[in-house]
Amino acid sequence: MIDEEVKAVILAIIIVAGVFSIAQLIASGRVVEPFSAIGLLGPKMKIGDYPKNVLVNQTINLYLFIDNHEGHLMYYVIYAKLGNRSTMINENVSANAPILDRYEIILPHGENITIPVSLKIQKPYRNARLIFEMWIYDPVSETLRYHGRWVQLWINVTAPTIS
Amino acid sequence: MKELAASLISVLIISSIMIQGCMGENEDVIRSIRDTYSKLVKAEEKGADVRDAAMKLQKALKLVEEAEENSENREALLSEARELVEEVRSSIPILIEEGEKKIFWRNIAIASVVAMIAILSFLTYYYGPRLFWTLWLKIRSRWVIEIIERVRENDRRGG
Repeated sequence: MIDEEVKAVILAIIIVAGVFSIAQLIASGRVVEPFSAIGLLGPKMKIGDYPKNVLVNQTINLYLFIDNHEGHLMYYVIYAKLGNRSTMINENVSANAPILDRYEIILPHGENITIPVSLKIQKPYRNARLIFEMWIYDPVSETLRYHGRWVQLWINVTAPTIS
Repeated sequence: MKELAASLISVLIISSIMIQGCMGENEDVIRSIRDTYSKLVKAEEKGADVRDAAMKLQKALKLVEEAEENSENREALLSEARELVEEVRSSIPILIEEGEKKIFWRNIAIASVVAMIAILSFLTYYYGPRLFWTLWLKIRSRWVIEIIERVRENDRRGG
């Protein structure tokens, strides 16, 4: 004869295990916290060795790392802008600065891509801010929207000296 | 002098029209890529696996970028990009169909697992203890119990 308390314990274990496995099954593949990431890598495709001083019209070679964890396919547009100390940028407001270049990327969920970036600055600039902004193409409104992510690199651009 | 100025202006106008035309062509391809992307997002919502299609669109974007830099092969690159976009566009209905099938079978699998858990719970609740004790007895049926020391009746009573 089985004690009623033992039966109750068995029933409780069964219920907990059942609820847990059903929840796992339903929640599998769902993204709890969607996010996109943008990273700036140096010329050796690593974090570091970033150029600090460049010459006017010298090619600045960098790499951009883009990661999609939004839970769905994304269309990113990355704007390279040239700002300065007073350029205002945050997660709601994009920089009001001249655009140097534009990169368009389509990335499925869970994928990342590293793209080469080659830029030239055509005039001397002290404390220039090379800003890379992440924008997304919104398929509903069919417009580009600032996604609130950006990275920046401070550089000094000097004119080549004539000897 | 007037003739020279007139010919210079006409050359400028023609070249600007040509540049505008080239830019327009690039923009057209970009627009069709974005349009296809929107359709692909809708397909993904319906369960379609859009990974390969997305790769093709990304390649098309790369080709447009190359076409902007390489004016010699511009037409060939743009045409290749257009072909890729068309390929993706035509594959969308099949992807949606496959996605809907996948979702259907996934729902069936979830329902089956839920039903299986319920049945197993019922069986375990009712027959589990009986099965456990039967096995317990079967495993220990050949055990021999030996009394090593007989405790005296008085000791047991604590007297």
